[in-house]
Amino acid sequence: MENWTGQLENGQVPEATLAAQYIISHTLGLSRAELKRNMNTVLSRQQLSEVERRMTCRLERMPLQYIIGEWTFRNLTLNLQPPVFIPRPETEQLVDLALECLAEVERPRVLEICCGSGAVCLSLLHAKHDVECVAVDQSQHAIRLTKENARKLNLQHRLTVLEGKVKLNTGVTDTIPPPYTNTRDTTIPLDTPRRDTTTPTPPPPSTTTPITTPTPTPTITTPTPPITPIPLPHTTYDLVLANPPYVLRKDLMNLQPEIMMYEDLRALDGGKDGLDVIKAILHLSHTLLLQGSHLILEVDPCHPYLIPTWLQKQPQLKMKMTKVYVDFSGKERFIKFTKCS
Amino acid sequence: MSRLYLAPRIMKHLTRDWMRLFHLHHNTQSLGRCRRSLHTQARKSANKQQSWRTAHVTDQRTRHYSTSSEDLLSLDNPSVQKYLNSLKAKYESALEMGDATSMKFVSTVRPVMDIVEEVEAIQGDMQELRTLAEEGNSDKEMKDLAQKDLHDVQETLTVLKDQLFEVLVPEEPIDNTNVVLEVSAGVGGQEAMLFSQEVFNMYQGFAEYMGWTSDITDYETTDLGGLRHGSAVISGDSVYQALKYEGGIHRVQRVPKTEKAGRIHTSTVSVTVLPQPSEIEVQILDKDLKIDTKRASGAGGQHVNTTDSAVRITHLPSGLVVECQEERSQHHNRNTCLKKLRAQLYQQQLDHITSSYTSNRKLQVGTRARSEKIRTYNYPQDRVTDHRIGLSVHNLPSFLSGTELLHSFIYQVLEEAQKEKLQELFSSRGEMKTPPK
Repeated sequence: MENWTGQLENGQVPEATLAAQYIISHTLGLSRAELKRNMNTVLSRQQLSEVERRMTCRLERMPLQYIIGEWTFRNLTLNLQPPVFIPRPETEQLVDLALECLAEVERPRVLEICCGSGAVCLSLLHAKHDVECVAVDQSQHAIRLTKENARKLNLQHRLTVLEGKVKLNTGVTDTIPPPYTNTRDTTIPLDTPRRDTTTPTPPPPSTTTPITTPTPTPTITTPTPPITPIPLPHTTYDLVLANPPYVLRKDLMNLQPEIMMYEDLRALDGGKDGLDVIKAILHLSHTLLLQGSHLILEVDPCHPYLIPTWLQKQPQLKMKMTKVYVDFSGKERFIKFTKCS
Repeated sequence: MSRLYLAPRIMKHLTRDWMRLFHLHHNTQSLGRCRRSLHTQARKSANKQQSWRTAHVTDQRTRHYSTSSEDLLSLDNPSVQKYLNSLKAKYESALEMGDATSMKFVSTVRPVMDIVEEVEAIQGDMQELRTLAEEGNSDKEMKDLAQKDLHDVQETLTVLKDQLFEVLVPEEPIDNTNVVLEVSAGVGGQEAMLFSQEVFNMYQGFAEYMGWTSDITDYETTDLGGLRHGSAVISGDSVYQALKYEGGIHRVQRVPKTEKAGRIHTSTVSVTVLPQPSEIEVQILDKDLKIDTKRASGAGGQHVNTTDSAVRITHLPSGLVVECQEERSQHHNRNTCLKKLRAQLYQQQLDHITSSYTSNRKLQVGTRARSEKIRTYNYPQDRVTDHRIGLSVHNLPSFLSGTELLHSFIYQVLEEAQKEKLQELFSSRGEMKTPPK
């Protein structure tokens, strides 16, 4: 045990002791407390090589959650596989906020965008028994993992998982309203390469599109901004939730090696100001929410200051920022929007 | 009405006795079934109690069991009579007064009074029967009949007496709550930590033995395999009732593993047993809490991936600090912290209330002061001694496994505490103490 901890420490792996404990206890099939109570257990040859293998992975900075293949989010133990985004502890609070929002709604319909491993929607389904959820993610791996976790937790009956990408067709939006010229101009050059990287992913079939008309050509100016359509099962929702990619491009290169090398950067990269996907979600929610219902987003602490300015320039968006919540370390992390008339 | 009120108490008493029987006879029936069968026979309490008494006597042969004299708790004891009489007088005057406070008093004392009346009636009967049996002019058949009746009535009286004492000591309203059990190493360094691990395991074993569930919420080890501090939430039937007198300083005397010269060391381990209140009983305001996590610095959110989910909560008004790091989910750890905090705050409240209604005159068992040395584990003599009631048993390994031996030990302490409470009642001049509701 000490030997391994030392090895990990030498490799400058953060939280070496914990990692060693988790790896050994997981290999032995014990809980961490049980391991600590039985420190003198002798490992079999097979267990030993398994531990060695996992320690090597950790030395290579593979996130511990991927190494042991599962982690706990709120009260649920979720399977986790690379490269699907590992749910963060901050996000646990997002579920609390959602539950608070839905406290008085009967049989609510909830849409989660960017579901990843399914942590948020599954916790919600687990906590409230009459919720019906639709979860959307752009990554096939995430879709598969969410379905797998839903089956594991026996929550698949109230959950629909769809593959799709929520994306603002920046070229189009730029041509619509006159108000923004200067600010948008600065964003276009940066948005364009981003769009280029994402266009190769085939857009989901748009045979039945209850939300918007199929992607309009740049010449059309519609009052509702065009959104890459996803065939959603309902036309309206009581709540939209999302933990979208919100890391600013400038921060993206300074992330921990665990994140850089192993996690799907598409789940993190929010563009220059971190708002790329958030803007798209705001547009989408505008069309999907009933009047007076909410959208809750997890965001970067700088976003509560950036979003109002942007919203002001989108007069056709009937979304109002109603409340900002701080996370457990006091950072402004969650924003609640309300659809108004 | 009074019967209905009495039933649960009697049953509880019976249940405890029955559980003892259960161990003496190595019965393998499940406790749940025993309890159910007792429900149906609650009124046939007499035989059960008698049979237990004999069983208990045989049990005592194996241990040195010293206890306060039994006759203090008899109806013939003048202080008991005096107490009952004063209670009766108060009860009657309260009945006449009829205002709200008096009626509250009446309702608390009514079960006691009902039994007292029954006892008086029976004592009257006995008087008559006795004269009948002793009178010279009646025929022999009549005399035999009277003798027989007298015998029956005496038996009923014994049962009633037990009931009376049971009712006199009000049951604590928190007896059926779950507990937070904490074991920390005290004086003695490494050795104390090694022993605290054994004590912690003993209670884990006991929880298993009793069919309770135990969730370890904190387990801080040392390099040598000792336990610096461990805590567990134990839930089940009457957990607090059973464990409430386990809190205090446990002392160990032995040659530690770490000792080279073979000398005997004395080290201590402190055990805390806190009742776990419901959320309604203790409310904690969010603004009073300072929550520290290992993620407090840096950008947080999607920017960071850490696995340390430790949470520390400081309750600002009281200065209490609780920690939990066992679970992988921070949310879960936070909830556990709040549970522990709630239990500690509740204990503070209870301490406050208890000190206002008990004099703690010379209570040995009942003080529940957490700084008090309650038990010694002596290895050279293979003996455990409880200092409060002077009870000793041998066979340490079996005791530390947390099974039968610990079970019977705990229940003897409990019984002693019950007697102590009665004695306190009779010797104090004050009115009947009412427990906090």
